[in-house]
Amino acid sequence: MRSLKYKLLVATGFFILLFSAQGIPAVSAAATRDTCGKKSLEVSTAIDIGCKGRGNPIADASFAIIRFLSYGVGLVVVGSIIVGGIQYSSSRGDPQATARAIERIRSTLIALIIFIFAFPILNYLIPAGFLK
Amino acid sequence: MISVNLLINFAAGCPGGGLLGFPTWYKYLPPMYVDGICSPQLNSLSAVWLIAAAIIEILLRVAALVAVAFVIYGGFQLITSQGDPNKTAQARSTIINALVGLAVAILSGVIIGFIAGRIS
Repeated sequence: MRSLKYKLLVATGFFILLFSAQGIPAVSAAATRDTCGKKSLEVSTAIDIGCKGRGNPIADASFAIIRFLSYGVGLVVVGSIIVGGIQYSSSRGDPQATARAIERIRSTLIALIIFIFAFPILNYLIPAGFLK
Repeated sequence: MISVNLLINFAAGCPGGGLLGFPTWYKYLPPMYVDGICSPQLNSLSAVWLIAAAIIEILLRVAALVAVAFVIYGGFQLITSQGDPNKTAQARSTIINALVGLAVAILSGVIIGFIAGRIS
């Protein structure tokens, strides 16, 4: 298990990388849109994180990151189940190893179901159509 | 799902050599040619998922290889069991588990499509 400190460090580095427009050489000239927030408030980002240019930059960037993460859920779940399959294959008939593989697959499916119901639950909790 | 759309948009990446039949990690990244040299484009955050898709393909190949290796290992166990019922049972469960694991890995996409399609 990684410590919390390590995770915080990685997350901070990630955000610095995302939101520092200068200091990183441009990987490509053809970026579609690398600003967040609407016209009068826009903040430029180092790479295109998928902002739609609405409202204030922080909310725009958060929604962009939520969108990014939710695009990847299917891929991550499929990857995790494949890893579970590899674990199952390599269990050599050992019941404990098999149980670990089944546990991984079950947790993955539970995570998928939680993700699917996350939007309805949040939509129910947060007022005034904020998630539109 | 959405990830499938991403794959269709950028189906053609840079040409590149695979290794032992494994696809390259930059397979789905959109190509950009500078002076005739192809370099995969990494200018948006969603490129991460294109790389993840290629890694999943690599993982599928790994799963197939692992399953084949353990079926061979189980066969070897069966050969060397000398008729001992405990050892044959062990060998049989090795082979069956290898095949079940392969089936889970291959069907994973279908399983996810089924669950997500039923609920949402």
